Parts: sequence; C-alpha cells; structure tokens
Amino acid sequence: MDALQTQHAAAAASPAARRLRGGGAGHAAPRRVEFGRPRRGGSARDVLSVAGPGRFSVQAAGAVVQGGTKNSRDVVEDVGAVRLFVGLPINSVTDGATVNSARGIEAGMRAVKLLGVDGVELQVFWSVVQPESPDKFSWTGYRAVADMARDEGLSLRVSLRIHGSPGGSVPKLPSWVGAAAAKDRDILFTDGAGGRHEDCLSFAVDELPVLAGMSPLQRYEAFFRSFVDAFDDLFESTITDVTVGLGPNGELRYPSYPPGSDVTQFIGVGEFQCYDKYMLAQLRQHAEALGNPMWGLAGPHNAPGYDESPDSSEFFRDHGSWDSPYGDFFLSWYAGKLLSHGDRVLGMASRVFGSKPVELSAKVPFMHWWHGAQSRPAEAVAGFYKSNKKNGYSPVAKVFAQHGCTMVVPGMDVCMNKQQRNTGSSPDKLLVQIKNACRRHGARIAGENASLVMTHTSSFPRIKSNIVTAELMRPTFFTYRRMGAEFFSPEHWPPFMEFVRSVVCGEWDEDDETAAAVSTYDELPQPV
Amino acid sequence: MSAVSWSIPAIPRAIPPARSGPPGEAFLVAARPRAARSRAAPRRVRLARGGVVVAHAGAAEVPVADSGEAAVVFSEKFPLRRCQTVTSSMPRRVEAEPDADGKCKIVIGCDVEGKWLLHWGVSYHGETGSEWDQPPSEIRPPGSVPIKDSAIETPLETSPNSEGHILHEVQIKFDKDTPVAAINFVLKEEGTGAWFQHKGGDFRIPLSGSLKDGDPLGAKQGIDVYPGVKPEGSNAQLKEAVPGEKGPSTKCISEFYEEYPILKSEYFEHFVSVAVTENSETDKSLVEFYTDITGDVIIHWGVCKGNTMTWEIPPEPHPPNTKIFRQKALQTLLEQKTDGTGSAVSFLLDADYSGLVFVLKLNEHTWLRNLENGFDFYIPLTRVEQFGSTQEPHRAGEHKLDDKSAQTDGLISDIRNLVVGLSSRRGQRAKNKVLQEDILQEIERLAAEAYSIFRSPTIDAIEDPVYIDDPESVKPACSGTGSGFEIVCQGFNWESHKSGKWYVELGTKAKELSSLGFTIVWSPPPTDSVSPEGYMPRDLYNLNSRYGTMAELKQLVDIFHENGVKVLGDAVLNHRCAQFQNQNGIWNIFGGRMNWDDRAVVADDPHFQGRGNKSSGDNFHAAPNIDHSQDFVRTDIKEWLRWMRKEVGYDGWRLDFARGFWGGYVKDYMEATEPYFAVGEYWDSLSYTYGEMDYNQDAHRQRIVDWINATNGTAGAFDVTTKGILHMALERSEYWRLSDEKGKPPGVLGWWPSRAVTFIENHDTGSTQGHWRFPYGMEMQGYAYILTHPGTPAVFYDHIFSHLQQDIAKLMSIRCRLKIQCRSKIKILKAEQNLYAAEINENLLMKIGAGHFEPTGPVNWIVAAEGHDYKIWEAAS
Repeated sequence: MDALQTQHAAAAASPAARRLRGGGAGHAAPRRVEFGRPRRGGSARDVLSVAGPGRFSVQAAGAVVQGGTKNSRDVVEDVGAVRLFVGLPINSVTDGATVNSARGIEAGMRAVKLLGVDGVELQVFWSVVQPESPDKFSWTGYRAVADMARDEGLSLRVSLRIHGSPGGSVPKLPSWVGAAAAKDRDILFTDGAGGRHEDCLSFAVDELPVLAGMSPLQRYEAFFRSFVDAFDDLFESTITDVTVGLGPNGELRYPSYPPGSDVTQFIGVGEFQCYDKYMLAQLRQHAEALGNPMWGLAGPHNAPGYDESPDSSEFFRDHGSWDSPYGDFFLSWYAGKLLSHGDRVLGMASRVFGSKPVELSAKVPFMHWWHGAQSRPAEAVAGFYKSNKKNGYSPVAKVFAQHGCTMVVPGMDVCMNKQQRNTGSSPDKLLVQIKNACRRHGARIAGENASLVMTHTSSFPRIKSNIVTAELMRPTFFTYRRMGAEFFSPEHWPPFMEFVRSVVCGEWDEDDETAAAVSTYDELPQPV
Repeated sequence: MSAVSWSIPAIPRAIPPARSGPPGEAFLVAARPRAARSRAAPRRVRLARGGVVVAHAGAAEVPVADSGEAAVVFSEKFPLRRCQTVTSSMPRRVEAEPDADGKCKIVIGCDVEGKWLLHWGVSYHGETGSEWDQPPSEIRPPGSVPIKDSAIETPLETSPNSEGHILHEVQIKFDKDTPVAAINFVLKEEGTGAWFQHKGGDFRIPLSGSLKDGDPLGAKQGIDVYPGVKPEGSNAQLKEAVPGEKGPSTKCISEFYEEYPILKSEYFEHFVSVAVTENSETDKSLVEFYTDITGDVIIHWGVCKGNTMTWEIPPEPHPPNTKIFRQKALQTLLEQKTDGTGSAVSFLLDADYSGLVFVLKLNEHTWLRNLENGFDFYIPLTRVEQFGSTQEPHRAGEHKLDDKSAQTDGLISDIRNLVVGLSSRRGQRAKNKVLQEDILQEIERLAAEAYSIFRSPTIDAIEDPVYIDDPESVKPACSGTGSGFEIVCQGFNWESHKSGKWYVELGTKAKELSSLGFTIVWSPPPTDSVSPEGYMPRDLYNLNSRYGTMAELKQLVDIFHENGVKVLGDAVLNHRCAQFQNQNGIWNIFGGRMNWDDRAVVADDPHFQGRGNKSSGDNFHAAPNIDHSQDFVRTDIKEWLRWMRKEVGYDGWRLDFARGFWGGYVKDYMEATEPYFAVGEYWDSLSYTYGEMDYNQDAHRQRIVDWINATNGTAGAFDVTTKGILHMALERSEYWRLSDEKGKPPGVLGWWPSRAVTFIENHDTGSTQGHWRFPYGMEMQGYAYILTHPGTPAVFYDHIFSHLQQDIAKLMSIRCRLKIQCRSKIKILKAEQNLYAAEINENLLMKIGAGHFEPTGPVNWIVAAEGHDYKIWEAAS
C-alpha cells in the first residue's frame, strides 16, 4: 500500500509540476502542449503519451501487490513493469566533443518519449572519452546527449564500454592503450594461432601495471569515477541505470570469435583465447598447483577451429575430451578466469556507483548456437562452463547477485526458426537456462534484442512474450537497439510503434472501453 | 489489483473490492513504481509521506469520529457554461456612384458588440468555383493584413450611427472598371475567434455583371443576376436592389443594400454542486444536487459499480420526476426553488455503488458537460475505506493516534485530488483519444525527421561531388551561362497574354529593367499556341501570339538589346499540338512548316497514338510529346531554333518541361544554336517521408544535376531544390535546412552553382496559378538569399513591379557592386532554427530569419541592406 499512496502524495505535493515544453526550440512551432517531468525529481508526471493510461494500471497493479504482500524479492520483480529503453546510435559521439546527428537524436528521443518509452541507452566508450592520453577525459559530447535525454524527461541507461569493436567509426581502444599494446603484444587476447584481438585487453593483465604504470583495472576505475564526476548531477534525475562493460561487445565473455571479425555476426563455435603469455603463465601456475604441470603447457590441442563443427575434432564431441578430467580442469580454469575478471570489475564498479541511486547491470552473451551439443561448445569457449554438465551461467549469475548487478540478456528477440537448425541453436532453452541461474542466485535480469528487428515478423511478439507476459523472471528493463536510419525507416518504425504501444498499453482494448463509455449518449445531439 | 482488472477487462469482479485501489490513480500516478530496491534518497522521503496519507485515509472510514452519524463523502461545486444566442444584423451596401476620385465603394457593417474583422478575398472574371484571391493592393483598406496568399483581414472601424447605436463598418473602395468580379468574405470576431458565415459558406458581393455572357442588362439584373446574394429563405432581406448605372466599359456595377441577421453566441457561467453524505445506519448515501440555472434542468445520470465505469440504472425506487432513458440512464427533473434561485434534488442511493455519473440536460438540444474534461461528471459514492486497508485497521488506528488533526487539511486535499483524478478519468480518456491523434502525428513527424537525418550519409562517407566547377576542365562548346554576373528577369506572368500587346508593354519597361540591373530578360513563349499563355505550341514558325505579333516581338528584342539586356526565348520542345487528325481521329498530324506526322510523336502515350520511339523522359499528357530521338525531328528543331536566333534575335533559351526528354538532345540543340544563356525547367517533386520534406534533398538535386550533366553543361537549370528548401526553412522557421551535411547550400547551387538558376517564383508557382507559391510575405528573405548567393538569380516580374521593387533593386545593386557572380565562394556561418547566415565572396555577409546575428571579426562590416528578417552587410573597403 505504501508505494501506491506514495504516488498520490507525490501528485498532491506538486500539482504544478507540469512543465510546458516544446517552445519551438529546433523544430516547427509546437502544435500542442505536452507535459513532461523530471523523472525522479519528486514531481508528478502528467503523461499524455499515446501509451494512454493503460500502462499505469499495470504498474499500479505491481505496486499494490508489492506493498500488499511484502513478499520476497522474486515476486516483486516478477510483477513490476518492465522499463522500456531505446538504444541511441552507437556513434552518437565519436570524437569526445561533438554529437553526431544531434538533431536526429533529439527528434528521435522526442518521438520515443511521446510513444511512451521510459528511457534511452547511451553507450559510452572508453576510447572516445580518453582517446589521447591517460590524463585527459573528454565528456562534452556524451554530456550533451545526456542533457538531451534529461530535457526530454527520459531516463538514461549508460553503458560503459571498454573492449571491442563497436563499429560506426568509434575507435576500438584509446590510442595510448593501443600504444602500450604495440609494445607488449601479449596484453591483448591471443588465440591458438597467435592472432591478437587488437580491441580487447587480456583478463590476465587486469591487475598488472601494463598501462602507463597502472593496471587496466585502475584505469577502468578512473574511467568510471570520471564518469561519475562528470554526470554527478544527473544521477538523481536522469541516469537510472549503469551497465558495466566487462568484455568485448560489452559482454562478460572471451573474444572467442576470430580477431577482427564482427562479434555480433559470428555464430561459430569459436576458439579459446588463452594464448597470450600472461594467460599461459597463469594456466601453467594453476596446473602446477594442481600437480598436473603437463596440463598447463597450452590450451586444448584438439579443439575445433572458429567455424568448424564441434564434431570435427575430438575436444567438443559428445563424450570428447571436454568430458575428461583434463577437459574439466581446463574449462573450469578458463571459465574461472572470466569469472574473476567479472568479479573484479563488478566489485570495483559497485564501489564506484554504490552511493549513486542507479541500478547496476552488466551484460552476458547470448550463446544460443550449438546449444544442442552436450558440450555447449560456444558457451565454453566464451567462458561459460560449470563442471558436471551444470549450468554454465550459474556461477556468473552468482557473481552478479553478489554485487547486486542485474544481468542483461541480449537476444530476447531471437526466435528458434530464425537460426539454422544445424548450429543446434536453441534460444528458448538458453533463456530458460539463464533465468534459472539467476533465479537460483537471486540476480535480476534485463533484456536487449540481438539485432534490429526488420523483416522478421515474429520477433516483436517474441520480445513481448519475453518481457511482458513471462511469468517468472520478467526483465526489469528492456533495451531496444538501436536508433538510426533503419530504426526510423518506414519499414521498421510502424511495427516498432505497434510494439511499444502494445507493451505499454497492455492487453487493454481501448476502443471497446471507449465505445462502452459513450454508449449512453448515442443518438443524442451534441451539446452546443 | 483493481488496476489490473481495469487493464484486463475479463477479470474485474473476481477481485474483492476491499482491495481495490481507486481507479483514478492511473492519472495521478506519475512515477512508475520503482521496485523497493531503489536507492534513490528522495524516494524514501516520499514513502514516509505516503504513510501519513494512508493513515488518514484509513481513518476516514470510521464515521463516528467527529462527524456524527453522517460522513460527507464528497462535496464539490462544478462550473457550468451555457451558450445562448444573440441576434443582430449586419448591413452591407454597395455604392455604385463614383465619388470624387472616381471610386465606388462597398460598405460592410455590423451592429453587434465586438471586435470585428472582415476576412475577405476577391474573385476575378472568368473564374468559377470558390477560389479566393488576395484583393489587389489598390483596393485594400488601410490596416489590412494578408492571411495566407488568398485573403486579407481588415478590421471593422467603430463609429456611432445616426441612432446612437454602435456600428462597426469597413469601406472598400474600388475603380469602376476593376477586374474584380466579386468580393467574398466572412466575418470574424476577434475576441472569441468566432466566424460568421453565410449559411456555412462565404458571403459574396458581385461587383459587376459581365457583358461577355450576353446577359441582357437592365432591371432584371438588379433582381436576380447575383446568384450569391439571392434572397434565400428568410434570413436574407433584400431591402433594396437598384439596377446600377451602366458604365462606359463592359462592366456594370449595381447599387444595393442588404441586411443579414447574425447569431452571436454568448456564454453564461453557472454551476452545479453535488454533495454526497453517507449514512452509516442505513448504509445508503444521500446525494444532493443543486444548480443555479433557472428553468427546467434534468440530470441525466447513472451509477457504476467497481471500476467498470459502465453506466447502470440503480434499482427502483427512483427519485420523483425520473424517466428511464433507453434502459441506460435515468433522467431526473430537478425541482425549481420557489424563490427562483435555481433547482435542486436529493435522493438516496445504495452505498455499494462506487460512483455516480451525470450530465445536465436543459432541453432537447442543450446538454451541459463537465467543463474540465468535456465529458461526464463523476461523483464517487464509495467510502474512503476503499483505498485504506480493511485488513490493517489497527495500523491505521495507530497512525491516527500519532497524527494530529492539524493534518486533516492535507487529508482532504489528498482526497480531493483523488476525486479529481476519478472524475476526470473518463474525460481524460476521451481527451487522450484526441490527443493521441495529435501525438501520433507529432511522433510520425519526428520519426520522419530523425529518419531523414540518420539516413543521410555521414560526413566521411560523402565523396566530393563530381561537379566541381572548374572552368578549365569543364569546357563545353558553349557554356550557356553568360558572363557569370547575370541577373535574369522573368518578363511576364500568367496573365500577360490578356492585353494582346504584351511585347509592347514589356518594351516600355526595358529601360527600367536595365537600370535595375537585369542583364537578361526571359520573354514568354512566342509561337502560335492552343492555350493563350503559349505553352501549348502548334505552328512553331508562326510567331504571332497572344503576346503580340512577330514584328512586335522583334521590336521588343531590339529595345532590350539597345538597353544592354539579353533576351531569352521560351522554347517549348517537349510537346506540340497537332493541327490535324489522323485516320483514327487522333490529333497527331502537325501543320505549318514543320509538318510532321505521328512518327514524330512518342509511342508511349496512348492518347496520341504516336509511332515514334518511347519517350526519353517523362510525358506531358495534355499534348503529343515529341520524339526527340529521331533525326528528322532534331534537325527540324535545330533549324527552327536557329531561325529564331536569327530572325527574332533571341540570345538564349528557357527550355520548358525539360524533364520530358533526355538532356543529351538538349546538348545537341544548344550546340547547334550556341546560346549566350540557357536554362532548363527540370521540375519534379522533392523528397518527402511521411509527408514531411526530407532534410536531405540530394536525390532531388542529383536529378537536376544529372540533367545538366546530360546537356554537357550547355544549359543550366532552375534550382527547384533551393526553392523547395527555402519554402520549408522560411515557412516553418527551419533555417537549419539551408545547410547540407557538408555545410554547403543544400540546393543545386551548392553543387553546381554556375548552372543553377535560382528563383523563388515563376508564372506556374506563383502569379494567378499559384501551384507552389512562395511563403507569403517572405519573398524578400527569399531574394536576400538568392540575390546574395552564387548561382544566377532570376526575379519574377510580379515581384519587380510590386511594393518589393525598391528592396529587390537594392539587393541587386549590392550584388553588382560586390561583383557576386554565379561561382562566388560561400561560407555558411549559421544554419539554425531561426537563423541562417552566410559569408559570400569574403566581402558580403547576409542573414535571414528572426534570430539575432551580428558580424564579428577583424573585417569592418557595414550594413548594406536591411528588412524584415533579413540583413546584409558589406565589408568596408
């Protein structure tokens, strides 16, 4: 009950909090009045969005149940309405100072705001913020975008990204990091053939002073703290979520895809990335400690290549070496390294953001291909493994839960029929697996889509069922990625609008209701 | 829970009402309930407050506390507005007798209180339909304000009439021989914004009868020749209809006087108050209505249960004087108070209804609704316990003890807020419906804008346009661009053919045009033509047209040449009207010296059964399109063009409908005739998405540039792109459109300035056709743009000979003085929402738009010209 009454109190407290907006800034003269509000500034919002009132009923329902039952966290989370975000273009800022297509972003923000979306997601890249030197941060561009979101009354989910090739002319790593990597190539992830991932620092050097006298972890922390400083005033009003990038593509994973390829496109098994000298040293140490020094000389010699079938070689075959004591030794160590990286960075992040009113989250990969194989090879090379054929996402979920971190699961749009059967893809089972892991450990989940849904008509219903009608482990927020030309194209925009409206309005059929309400008036002349 | 049931209608009654949240919360609730895990500090504060409210809400369900037996659940006074009409009259009269200045006048008056505006326009002879045109400037009374491009508004002046009544009237004076056929108007009351029309249409005062139709003049005309003012029904009282004096010309103006009744609505403020008192013993609610409206007042009402908001009829007994209306609602007549101060009614209702919904009915046609939401009034009957918690009475009680009565006010206001939320809920929905449409439109507009911005290639993806204007490398046999310093005058409009001696008339202006700074004049299409304007040519070698004879044309060209002005001929090459029918009766056999047959007609227009090849461009469907792919056709056309060059003395060409055939043929023609200057009309639609003009018009200008390219640069083209973008930029104050992604002008002039002929209006877009009229009143901004920018500007005749002449002349003289030419360098300084500023040639600065701009920097800038929303500076030498 508390929550419910709170809202009335809030409404009563500031009935005059309506803010007239749209005074023609940057656009055609406003044709109507629109009400907005700062998200959490303590004032009520008169939402006159197309979403209509339906959505609030859903929320209020959640509130009633929450307050009334005072039940466990699971129930609360399952009932609460999913917050809907839209991703901003990946290249919103590429040089630190200017906003690319600023007017487009502005118009886009206003459009999705009117549509009833809760917020936008902004990806903030280390390489953009600290491009030239470890001493200088340039936040101007990102700050301008955040201000736009604030002015629109949108929430902001900030994804702090460190590793990976985002594309869209965003640099990979800061040039000074690249310079350090040029001196010591082994601080980069390396595959069995010696291929280096130029865009991803090895997890093995997390705590080694390889970056101008400091460890990568310290550099990440400086990056995060600088962000907090630069956006301090927005934490109360606009920034509701911070997503910590733990690896390539912002996901907690090894870059198991071929160096230089597009992580979002790769659906092969992949390869182990443990061949930089730091990883190898740790492997050797670990093997020696366990009394099997021979196991620590290299990674598995009989694993398949990037695009080969798991059956093509011994390691991942059913009952292959993965199922042997060596296999378990190696995979456990490999997954453990990933886990401790995640633990380190999340621990640091929760120290940095602990005092801020934000929901901390981090992303995991959605390795749904080759899910059918017993060995779950794609998961394993990405670092998701638990002994005895248990749920590889489970240890990760545990770490997330420990740090109060929401697990962002991309691929809420992935449909079974979309994937080639022969990759053994099983998005449904994987999602259940992830949800189970999170439920067991009490981690919340959130969602993203894997790709802009264009032609595939069943994807929107798929997302909807995953985020709205799911009974258990409903995501706390869902981010639809991402704004851009395709997003606003006449092919994509109308179905997206339908999707948002159906999500925010629930199942309530508005036309019927209105018809019923008016029925007593029929055939009556209009009042003059 | 209730809210869930509301959103999923299937469930509602399955949930015990005690747990119900008030439905109105949906509107009060603003913030999404964030899960309890929220770490936001301010939230905690609000939680605490919420607790207090709960306590009070819970307390209110215990009626014994202070209020005795009955608890007031609800009491509210709603404002009402009632509309009544006032009748008065609007006289108008026409005085045909010319006054001392030879003017006739129309007086339109109105004797109703108010601030009246006459919203009017004129129509000309020969026009049918209800199209309005703006009145010619000479008949506009002072104080007139143009509205769009077809009307003006003139305020009525207030003067006491002979009987001491206030009379508002306006006088319109006009020449007896005015071409205006009729004046159309409606009246507008500025205070209320109300419009007064004549039976839903315009009032119309015909100024003249026309002899053309052969109507007999005389008494009859005074009575019914004016269809617009025929006394129809009882509304119009034609008091006087005097046949007018017949003027010496072909026009005849009648004198008459009429009066029309005007109905003006006035609003009266009333109120209705409703009080609900709950009686704990009977478990019934007493509902009391009172209104200060006198006369019969009926409440049209129903009750609803739970949150369904469905009208129901409560079971009998009904209050006295109650009728059941269509099994859906009750209509109860209020009892009039004996002292005449209003009406009231009160009745009891079972307390298990959640609310009462009503509207007021005064008579069959007058219903009064909730002013706040334009919908029903909603009165909650529920006891406040609904949102308190019956399950936690102890807790509520505890709170009550803690909280002092000083907070009762807070409680009441909270309840009131709830009630407002409730009562406005349904109306809000209706309102939302309307708003939704608005919002959806706005969303679509925004999406379109975002789309056009995002899809335009990013800066690093654009290659430099290939059309770099390098006089060294691009050297066609003839450049067709003149000296580069040309300023073109379009020397006619859509009406110029009417006098029959345009060439003579234009000739008299040659000196003036020359002194204004024009170097080129574009003369109308000279040939024999099916349409008087000349764009449906027939016998190409017959240069006697509605504009004058061939001799007069030659003389005109000579006069311009004497004044140092080049003359362009308007060559219509795309199509040609036939003189004879073929065996099927199709008009496709040509006559005159170029006696082609159907082989010269393109094959892909079935109307004309051409036997030529398919068209190399778009078809113009009103006439046979010429097949330029055939050698004999091209040979003949080249010969004809050369003949005109030589015989008439034309210096170059304006090529009509250049979209209709391949630019390569134009190259052929240009090379054969070596014009000093040539410009093609390549006019197609700009890019729009969802009805919104795209920011990026590269595709549009690309098509124009492609055409110019096909002509090998032998001809320029009208910069339609720039005109279109200027429309948007000016009309909607979106000046950012005036810079493309590369920071260059977004039209053809940004890509190939030496071949861009910029213009803001021509005989098609403006004049009396008005197919695509430049934003009214912003012409000078348009000229401030094109006359300072690279490209070759073309000024429209109607603008030169208008009140704009001096301003245009000033800009032209600046252009000449600063030696701005078609290839001048331009640097855009600002392209913002309400401001565009650019530096040209490093010696001129210009800005348009309402935004503030002042030059800075080391250069000493001196204001050279200034006007409404534009300003031009030149560098001090």
